[in-house]
Amino acid sequence: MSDLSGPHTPELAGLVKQARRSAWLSIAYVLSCVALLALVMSGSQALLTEIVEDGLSLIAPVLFLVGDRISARPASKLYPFGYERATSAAYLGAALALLAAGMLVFGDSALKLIETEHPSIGGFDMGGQVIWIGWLAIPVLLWCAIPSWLLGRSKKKLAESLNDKGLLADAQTKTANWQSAGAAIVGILGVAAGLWWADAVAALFISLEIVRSGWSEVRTALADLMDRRPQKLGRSDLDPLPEKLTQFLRREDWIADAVVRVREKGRELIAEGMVVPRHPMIDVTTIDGTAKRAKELDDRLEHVALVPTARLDEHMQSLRLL
Amino acid sequence: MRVIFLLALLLLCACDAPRDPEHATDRILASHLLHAGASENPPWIWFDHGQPRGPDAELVTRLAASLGARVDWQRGSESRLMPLLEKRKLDVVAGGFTSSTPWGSTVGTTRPYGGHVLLTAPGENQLLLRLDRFLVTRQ
Repeated sequence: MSDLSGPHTPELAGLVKQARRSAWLSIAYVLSCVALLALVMSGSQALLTEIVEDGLSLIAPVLFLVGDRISARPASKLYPFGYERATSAAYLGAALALLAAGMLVFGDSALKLIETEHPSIGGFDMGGQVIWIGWLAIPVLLWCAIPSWLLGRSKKKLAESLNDKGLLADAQTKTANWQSAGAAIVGILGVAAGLWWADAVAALFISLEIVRSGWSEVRTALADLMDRRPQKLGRSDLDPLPEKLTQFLRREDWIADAVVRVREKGRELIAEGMVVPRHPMIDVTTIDGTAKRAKELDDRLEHVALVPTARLDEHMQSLRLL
Repeated sequence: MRVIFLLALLLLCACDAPRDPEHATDRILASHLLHAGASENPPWIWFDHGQPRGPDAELVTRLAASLGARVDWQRGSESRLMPLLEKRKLDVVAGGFTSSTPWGSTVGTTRPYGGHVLLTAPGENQLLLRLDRFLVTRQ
């Protein structure tokens, strides 16, 4: 029960530093992408959604940086549980941005198809030589796709090591970016071939995937804020830690029965164990020792609170996992 | 996804891209007729004894000539001509438009030429590109 804030180990601190660098890199990269697209488009409306979608992907790394900074503050008298939840709030924001980007692309491309909008893409004057903007857009879109893909992969790994869902949502935003840039390339090749609908159809397909992943992230973010028991990162199967802790406590000599609740607090976990001692008189050092060893069961555990009680009431009984 | 990509690539090799979805350029080249709308807007374009005059009118005539076609003019207000352009009944509309024209979101706009642009049938990208090339070489 020593430190109540910040990363536990130097290794984690290094990863956090790496994640921060990666967030700054993302911001600079997305801005370069938006600027290049805007330059190439010059009046053409065809790639406008691509620009807006890229712009929305700025939200995730910005929120990560803000959330990370706030979460590192030590607990205070006013915030006695610390600031780790800031990363959960950032996660919700990033998840909403991802969902919004997906819905935007979906709505825009569906509308284009319904209105049978034929995208007009003209020429770009490169010092007397007129090149079709479609051809120019392809290398720009590749620049918006390939680094996005690499960044997404490295962020996903970092998110798993850090147990940071906001970072995971950011990684998924990067995935959405490279997929929609890829779809835009396919769309432009289709438009070049005289298929006016190619751009909208390619975007529509990708938008379904973005909406699906955004929706699942928003649901997870809301569930985390409501203290649902932890799930494995980025998956829907349950994390087995509460069962593991229950078994550990029941094996302790002095404990007759135990019910455990675990919740997420940002990157970390907090556990609460209601324990029924075999004898009414227990030594506090025994309780402390058990709590300390329980905390060592998992790196993510920030705090294990043991509450000795004479009997488990009906409410606690109903929460029994094992 | 990969199939669409290969398909698009094949279509690209088979013909000169970008193609017009509704074949405006092919039709102009075959019929030697370019359908143009003229929305009076001096000093860019105006009518004198039923004949379009001014730099925009001259531009469209020369453009048509570069495609081996003559111009079939339709005189009218913007609100009458634009729906025709959107339905591709017209190939081009001239009327001293600027590049910030609100029509830009529904039809094609050329590169600015002398501070103004021509409007083209939506999605007919081969025609638009040919116009852009014509305008840039004239500058």
